[in-house]
Amino acid sequence: MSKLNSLIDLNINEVAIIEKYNLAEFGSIRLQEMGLIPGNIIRLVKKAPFNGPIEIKLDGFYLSLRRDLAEKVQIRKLK
Amino acid sequence: MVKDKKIALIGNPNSGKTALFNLLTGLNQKVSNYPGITVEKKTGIAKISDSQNVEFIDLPGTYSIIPSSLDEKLVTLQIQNWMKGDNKPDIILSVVDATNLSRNLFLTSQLLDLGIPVIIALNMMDLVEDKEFINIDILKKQFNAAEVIPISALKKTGIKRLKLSLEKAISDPIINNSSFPDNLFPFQDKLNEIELLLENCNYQSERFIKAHAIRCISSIRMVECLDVDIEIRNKIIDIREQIVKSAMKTGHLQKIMEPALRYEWINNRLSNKPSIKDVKINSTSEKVDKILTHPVFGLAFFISLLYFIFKSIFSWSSAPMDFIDVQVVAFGELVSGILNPGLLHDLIVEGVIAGVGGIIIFLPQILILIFFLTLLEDTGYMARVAFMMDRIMSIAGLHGKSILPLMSGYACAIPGIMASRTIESWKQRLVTMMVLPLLSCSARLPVYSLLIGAFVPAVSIWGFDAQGLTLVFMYFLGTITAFLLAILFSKFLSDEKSTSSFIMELPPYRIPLWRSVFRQVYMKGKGFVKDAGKIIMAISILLWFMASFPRLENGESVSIDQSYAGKVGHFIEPIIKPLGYDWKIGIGLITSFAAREVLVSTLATIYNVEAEGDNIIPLKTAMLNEKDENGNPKYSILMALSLMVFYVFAAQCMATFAIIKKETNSWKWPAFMIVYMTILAYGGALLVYQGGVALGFS
Repeated sequence: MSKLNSLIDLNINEVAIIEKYNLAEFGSIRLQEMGLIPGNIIRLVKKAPFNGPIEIKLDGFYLSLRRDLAEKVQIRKLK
Repeated sequence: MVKDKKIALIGNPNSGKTALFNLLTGLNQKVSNYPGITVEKKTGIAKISDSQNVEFIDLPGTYSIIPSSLDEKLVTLQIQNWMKGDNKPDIILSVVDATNLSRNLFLTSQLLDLGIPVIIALNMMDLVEDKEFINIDILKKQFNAAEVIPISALKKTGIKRLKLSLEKAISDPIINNSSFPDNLFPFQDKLNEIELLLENCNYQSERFIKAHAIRCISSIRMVECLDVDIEIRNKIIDIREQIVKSAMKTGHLQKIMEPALRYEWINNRLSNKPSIKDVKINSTSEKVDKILTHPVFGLAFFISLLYFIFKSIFSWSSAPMDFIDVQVVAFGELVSGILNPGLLHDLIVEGVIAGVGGIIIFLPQILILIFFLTLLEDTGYMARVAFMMDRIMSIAGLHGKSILPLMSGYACAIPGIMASRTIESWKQRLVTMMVLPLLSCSARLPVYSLLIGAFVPAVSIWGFDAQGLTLVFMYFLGTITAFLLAILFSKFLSDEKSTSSFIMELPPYRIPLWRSVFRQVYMKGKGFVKDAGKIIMAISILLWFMASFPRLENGESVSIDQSYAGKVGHFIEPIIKPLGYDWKIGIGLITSFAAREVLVSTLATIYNVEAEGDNIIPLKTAMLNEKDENGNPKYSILMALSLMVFYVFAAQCMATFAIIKKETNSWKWPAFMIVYMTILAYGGALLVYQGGVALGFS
């Protein structure tokens, strides 16, 4: 089993499974409502340059989020 | 008479909700504002059968009953009111994007708890590749919906069936309780305590209270939305904190959150769960985005697009503008011939027609700008711009989502300010609103066009034409100032209310629905003509009066110099003289406080009253012919530049201040805005004029 990483540790086109959130307060509620909940699978699509937001695909759609939030989402890479 | 039945359309952003609403109601729509605020509330009456009229209500797009932005909060407040029995709709039409079933059904499952019959419109069925994947009957049974109807708002399929099922549901309402597993919630006794407190809200549905209690635990924002007094609110917050603490200890924070509970329930009911295969698919939009959000090509494309839009605004509009110009003059002559000479003749020809005509002429440019912005939004490109620009916007303390309000600001600050409601953070929203009026809105365009057309020579500088370059410079000046001030304002604003981040869906690129684009252009254009027209008409009449009176004892008019308007203009002339303006422009500056474009109609009225002819003189000619005491041309290119810079910065639109007051709920912010913009305007114009004179350009 590979170790836990956060969303921003993924490389382009790597697929991962959401493990848990590292957020003290519930800034994550919208992410969860969008379907970013533990057990779901995502793929990293793009990282905007100069530490801009990242883009992921989950289910059938694309979502972008800033890195400060992405850092708090722990994932496990899938082969 | 039997009251019309009400049907509310609710769905995610980009679910095609508004397209379906347009399809159901046709042109029979009424746009009003929600009480006390400026978000548009669209309703439309339509026949769904020979005997049944219904009223459709189109609510703003939302992802969840827990609101993340002001727009979404409206839907939440509306639903809370329904739950108290206030104006409750007879049916909820839940519009679902079939290509994104699981996420769209999240909201639907929240709606199933309301105790109102829910009909699911499965939109975009034409885009679902594997139709076997979605089993309508199983879906209907599993989710306990009154009906599930596959449709395509784009291809207009399934609409007849949808209307039939709406009619059936109205005559025979079936309310099925959802089976949302609230019993899985780990702290049932604490949950019951919150439910008891929620009884103060007088909600009528048990299931809604239960679900709402869980939402209050999931997010403090939900608690903030409740209309309960502070004491009860604090009690709820207390219990919420106890639960969160216990959950953190056991490491089961997820289990107390509504999304985790609901998604488990939803995914157990879907035959096709989200899979690795799905996330690995490269959609067409993703392939397109390889270029369009590419760090280099994407930015280059965006800049080229902006250039193309602003170029088009001028090149496409010149023919219709000439046409309107000719028509206004011809109409003035026609009316002039019909009316007998006298006061009424003067009022209508010199006041109303010259004033209103001076502004209608800019309608083509405004429509073209609105057209492009609508297109960018409807194709899904605007979200990409937000994605690309988020980093640079965050330097200015703003947000990727500030891009759309700011770009709308080039059309008009008011829709821009309203569009800023999608920004979650209060601070970022406030800064966006504060700098937005610095972006040159379409009301400045008439002013720039007039001055550039009259005073900037049509010569070519390094292959660019000087007139176009001047215009681009004015837009650039406003934009860069807005950006710099945003940095400044962000530094000085405290940020206690905000937990800001950036979460945004990148919807698939879509070919826009042309009828929807043209409808929006038409509606916004109509709004401009109506709103601006009213102000301009009133001011034109007032001005004509002030410019034509007092009369001499023999009934003849005094020279405009001696009129009321002239007196006011002369009074402020000393203040504006250092900027290079005379008293006539001074009158224009005062009337511009109502709206910027009024400058043009004001000057048109003043010159026409002065000329007192039967014919309307084109304003450009009149300004060029204006002579000073020595017979030299009175206005120079320097004055024109100084005046344009003044208009880039000046706080001049009453409607903007009114809306800022409404949105911030205080006079503090509009007052601040007026002060800082006035200082900028005066300083900027002074610098240009005096600097130019010092350099010997006068």
